Amino acid sequence: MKNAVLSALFGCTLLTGCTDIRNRLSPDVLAVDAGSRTQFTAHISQDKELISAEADSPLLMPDALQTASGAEISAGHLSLLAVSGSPCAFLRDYVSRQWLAPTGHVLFVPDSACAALSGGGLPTAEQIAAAVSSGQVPCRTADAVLGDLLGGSGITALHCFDGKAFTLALADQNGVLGMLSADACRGLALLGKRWDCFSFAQTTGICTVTAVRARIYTGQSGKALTFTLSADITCRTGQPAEAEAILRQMLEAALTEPAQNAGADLLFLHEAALRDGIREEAGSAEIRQQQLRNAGYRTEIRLKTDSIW
Amino acid sequence: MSKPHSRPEAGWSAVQTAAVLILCRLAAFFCAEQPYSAAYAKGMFTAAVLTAGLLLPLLIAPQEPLPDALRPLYRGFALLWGSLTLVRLYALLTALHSPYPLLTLFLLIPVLLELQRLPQAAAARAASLLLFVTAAAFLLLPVSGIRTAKPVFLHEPDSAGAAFLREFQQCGELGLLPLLRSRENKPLAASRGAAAWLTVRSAVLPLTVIFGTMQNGRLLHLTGNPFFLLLARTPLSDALRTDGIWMLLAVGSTVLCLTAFLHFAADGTGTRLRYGIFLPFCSFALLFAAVPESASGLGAAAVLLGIGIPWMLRLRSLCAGLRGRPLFPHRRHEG
Amino acid sequence: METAFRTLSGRLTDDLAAVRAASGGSADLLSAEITIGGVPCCLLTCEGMVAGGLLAELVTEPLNQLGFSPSDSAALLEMLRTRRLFSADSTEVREIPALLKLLYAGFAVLLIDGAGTAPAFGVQGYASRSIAEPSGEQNIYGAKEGFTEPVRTNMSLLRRRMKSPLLTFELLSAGTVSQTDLCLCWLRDRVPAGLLGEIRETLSALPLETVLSAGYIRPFLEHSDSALVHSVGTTERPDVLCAKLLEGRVGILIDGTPFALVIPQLLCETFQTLDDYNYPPAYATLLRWLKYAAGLTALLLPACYLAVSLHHPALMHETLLRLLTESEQNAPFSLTAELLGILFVYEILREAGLRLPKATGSAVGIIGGLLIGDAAVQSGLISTPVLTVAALSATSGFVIPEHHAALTVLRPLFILAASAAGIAGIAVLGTALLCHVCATEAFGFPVSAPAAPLLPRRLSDVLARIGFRRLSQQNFRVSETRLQPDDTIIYNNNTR
Repeated sequence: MKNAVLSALFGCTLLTGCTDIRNRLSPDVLAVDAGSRTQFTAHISQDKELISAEADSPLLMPDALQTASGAEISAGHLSLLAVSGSPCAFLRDYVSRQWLAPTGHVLFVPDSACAALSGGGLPTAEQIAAAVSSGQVPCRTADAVLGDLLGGSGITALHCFDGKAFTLALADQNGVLGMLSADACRGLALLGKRWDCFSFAQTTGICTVTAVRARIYTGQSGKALTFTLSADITCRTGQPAEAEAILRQMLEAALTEPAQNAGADLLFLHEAALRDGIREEAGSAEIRQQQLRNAGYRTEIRLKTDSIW
Repeated sequence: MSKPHSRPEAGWSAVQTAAVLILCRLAAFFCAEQPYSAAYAKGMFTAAVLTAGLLLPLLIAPQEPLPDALRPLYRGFALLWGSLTLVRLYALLTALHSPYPLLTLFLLIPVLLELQRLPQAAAARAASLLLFVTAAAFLLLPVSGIRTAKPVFLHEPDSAGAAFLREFQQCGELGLLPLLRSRENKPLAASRGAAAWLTVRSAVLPLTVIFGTMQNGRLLHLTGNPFFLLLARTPLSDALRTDGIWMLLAVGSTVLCLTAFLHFAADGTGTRLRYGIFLPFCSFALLFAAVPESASGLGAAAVLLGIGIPWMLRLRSLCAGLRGRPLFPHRRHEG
Repeated sequence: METAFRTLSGRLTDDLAAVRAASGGSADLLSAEITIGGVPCCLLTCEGMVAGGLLAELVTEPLNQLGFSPSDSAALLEMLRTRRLFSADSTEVREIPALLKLLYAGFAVLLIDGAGTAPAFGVQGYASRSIAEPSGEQNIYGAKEGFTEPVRTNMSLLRRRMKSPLLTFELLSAGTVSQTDLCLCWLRDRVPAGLLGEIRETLSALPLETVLSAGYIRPFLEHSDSALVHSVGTTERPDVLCAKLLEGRVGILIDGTPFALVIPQLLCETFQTLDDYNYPPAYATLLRWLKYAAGLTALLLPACYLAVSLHHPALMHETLLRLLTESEQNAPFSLTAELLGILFVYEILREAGLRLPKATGSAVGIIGGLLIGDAAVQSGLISTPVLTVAALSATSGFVIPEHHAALTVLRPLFILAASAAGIAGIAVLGTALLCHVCATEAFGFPVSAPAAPLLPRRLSDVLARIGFRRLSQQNFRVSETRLQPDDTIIYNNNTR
C-alpha cells in the first residue's frame, strides 16, 4: 500500500504539472466601474504597475485582467476594492469567491474609480485604516458592508472619499442612496470603538475621548419603536459642557441620519430590539427600513472627565 | 516482516475513545456550511444535552452484549457514514478553494488503504495526539477574536429547531458508540470516552458557535464555510494568519474520522474484505454527492443505532431480569 | 570438511590435524608444541588476537615452570584445573568448532595428548581503538567516553558506571558465519516481564550470516524493514545507556561496533540529550521545544512554503509574497523543481562530506558554499528564498540527527503532496505519517508513548524538563508504556 501512496503522489504531481508562480500577479487595489460594461483597473503590488481591462460582468474580473496582462491573477491580497456605480451588486460574490477578504476595505468613488486609481487620486488601504484609527469614519470592511446588506435592513454604509476627507455613502443592492454627514460619520466611529485616538476640536483646546460604553435600548408603544442610545463617555477636556454638546450632536446624527432618514440599520437596532424582547415582524428588508424610519430616537449621554494624573 | 510474538490488540483507552469520537464530531463541524447563530448554538446544545440524558443511564450501567446479528448493521452504517464524510470533505476542499480537490481525493484513497493496514489502535493514538493540538488551537481562537466580538449578534434570528435536528445529521459517531462499548477488554474506557465526547458536544462546540456568531454577525446569508469565515475575520495579526493551520487540522480530523469509520466498517474481517469495502465506500460517496437527499436518513439511523437499539437491549434485559424474580419478593411462597 | 559435531579425540596429532583442517589451513593459526611433565601438549593461539606479554606471563611461563611431573594427561589436566590459576577467564572445550571460536575470540587453547578436553585461557590482546569521545551524540557536560568496538570493553564501561549487582550481562552470538558476540544487559529488578525472553527468541532466530553493525539486527528487533521511526534506539554513550537501563530497558552491545541498541525507544527520547539534564530546567525546556519546532520545520517547512506560495498565496504576507515573486522572476525552474533540486544537491554535498577523506573534506564546504550559495543564486538558477528555506530545513534536521533518514525520505514526499494538493495534500500525508508513527511499536511498547497512549504523569519530562527534585521522585519505568489488554496503568510496578 505504501507503493500505492507513492504512485498516487507521483501521479498527482504529473497530473497537476508544475504550477508556476512566475507568471502570477497579485493586485492589492482593484477599481471597478460597474455599468453596462464593467471597467477594471488593478494596481499590481509587485511592480506597482496598473492593468486595465473590460468585461461584461464584474464576476469576470480575473479572466479580464488575465487577458489584459497575460499573467495569472491571484486576488487573495486585495486590500482595497474601489467601486463606482452600484457598489454592492457584486460584493457578495467577491467575498464568497475569496477575491476580497472579509477584512478588506471597500471604497465608493462617486465618479470613476478606475480614473481615480489611474490618476493617483485614490486613497490607499493604509489611509483608510488611519482614518478609522483616528475616528474620522467607522471601520467598514467588506464583512460589515455585506452583513448590513444581507442581514440588516438591506442598506449599508461604505467608505467614500471626496478628494479631501473620508465620509460614508449609504447604498443598497441597486446603488448609492446618499451620503452621511461628518457628524454622523464621527458618531458611528465613536460607537464602533475601532479608533485609537478620538479627538475633536473645541472652542479652545481639544477634547480626547478615552473610553466609551454605549448601549441601545428598545421600547415599543403600539407598533412604534423607540430606540434610546445610552452612552457613558470618558474624555479629557477643559470644557465638558461643550464637549458633551458636540458628542451629543455626533451621536444623534449617528443614530438618526442612517436609520430615520434612510432606513439603514448600521447600529444593529434590529438585534437590539430582539434582545429587548420586541417580537420580530416577519417581513422584507423594505418593511424593516420603514420601521426604522418610523421609529423614535433618543440619546442619553453621561460625560465623565478623565483627569490626566 | 511478521511479528513472531502476536499480541492481542490492546483496547482503546478512555482518552483514545474520546479523541476518536470528538474528532469525528469536529470533522463534521469543520465541514458544516450552516451559518452560525445563537439559535444554532442553542439547538446544538439542546440536542447534545438530550443525547447525554439518554446515553448516561446506558453508560453508567454495564454494556449489554451486542448481538452478532446486529453487527453487520453497525458496520454498514459505518461504511455509509464514511462515504458521507468523504463527500463532506470534498465540499470542504471546494469551499476552501483548495487546488485540485479531486486529486486530493485521488491521493486520499491509497492513504486510506494504507491506514486500513495499520492496527485500529494507531488511528486512535493519532486521534488523541491530533486532539491535543486541536484543543490548543481552540484555546487560541478567542484570543484573536476577542476585540471584534459583538454580543449583540447573538440576537440574530434563526431556527433553533432546525439546528436541533441538524445536530443529529452531523453526529454519525453516535452510531458507533455501541460497537466501541462492546469491546471486551476496555468497556469502562469507552464509557469514559463517551462522557468526554458528550461534554465537548454540549460545551465546546456550542461555545465555539456562539463565539463565531459574535464574530460573523449578520453574515448569516453568506454561503461558504462559516468556521473559516470566522478565521478569516479574526487573523492573529497582519503577518500571521492561522487559516493554514486550521486547514491542516480540519483535513487531518476528517481523514482520521474516515479511517475510524472504515476500520469499524471492516471490523473483524480479513484483509481482502478490509480492502474490498473501498468499492462500496466510493460508490456510496458518488451516490451521496450526486443525490444529497439519499443521505438524509443517516442521522436518524445514527440515533437508532446509538441510542434506540442499546435502550431496547437494556429494557429487554431488565424485563428478563424482572421475569425471573417473584412479583412480591417479601411474601413467602406458601406451598 | 564438516566439523560441526567433531570432538577432540585425545590424540594430539589427530586433534592438531583436525583443528588445522577445520580452520582450512589458515595462516593466522599458530601452534607451539611443548612437553609438560613428559606429556605432549600443543598451545594454540590466533595471530594478532592474543597479547604476547600476557600470554607469556600468564600461560607459557607458568607452564614452563610447572615444577612437578604429572603421571599422565588426566593428572596434568586435573592439576591445571585445580592447582594453577592461569587466567580469570578460563574454560574447557571439547568440540572443535567451539575451540576455534575461542581461538578467534583471543583465547589460548592447550591441546593435551591423551585428554579429550582442552583448557582455554583468556589472554585477549587484539588491537582496538581506544576509548574516545563519540563522533555523534556530543555533549558539553557529559562524559567524553564512548563505546568502542570490543564488546567486553563496553561491558566494563557500563559496569564502571553501574556498580549495582542488579546489572546483568548475558553473552549471545549472532551470525551463522561470523558468530559475532552480542551482550544483553539489563537491570534485573526493573526490566518488564517477558521482554528478555522475546528478545532472546528474536536474536536466536536471526537469519543472518554476519552482524557487522547495529543496523543489521535492528530491523529484526523492530519487526519492520521500512519503519520511518525507530522503535529500537542506538547510542554511542555508556552514560546514556546506563540511564536507559535504569528505566527498565534492555541494551544490546554488539562486538565490532561502537553502537549499542536500546529496547524500546520512545519517539520523545530522540529529542532529548543528556545535556538536557545538566542545564537549568527552564533552559532545557526551551531547548526541548526548540527541537520539536526544529523537527516540524525540517519536515514541513519546504512543503508549507510551496503550498502557500503556489496554492494559498493569500495566507502569505503581502511583502513576503512580493519578495518571492520578484526573486522567482528570473529563475528558469518552477518552485517545486527548485526545492527538490536544492534538497537533492544538499544530500549530495552531505554525503560527499561524509565520505571524503578528512584532508579534502573542507573542499566540499567551499565548493558547496561557492557553487550553491553564491554562483547558483547570482546566476539566477535558484532564488534566494528557496535557498533560505532549504537551508533552514536542512539545518533544523541536524538538531535531531536520529531522524535524518526519515526526514530525507519524507521531505520530498511532502513537497510533492504540497505541489499537487496544497495544504490539503500536506494534511493527508501528515495524517498518514502520524498514524504510521503511532502504529510503530517494539515488543508491545508504542513509540508514541507517553503521549499516546496517554500517561499524564510522564508528560512532565516530555513537554518540559522538570527539576531533579521532582524527577527523582517520579522514577519512570518503561514498563508503564507497555500496552496492557485492560485499562490499568502501572506506575513503578504498582498497578492502579
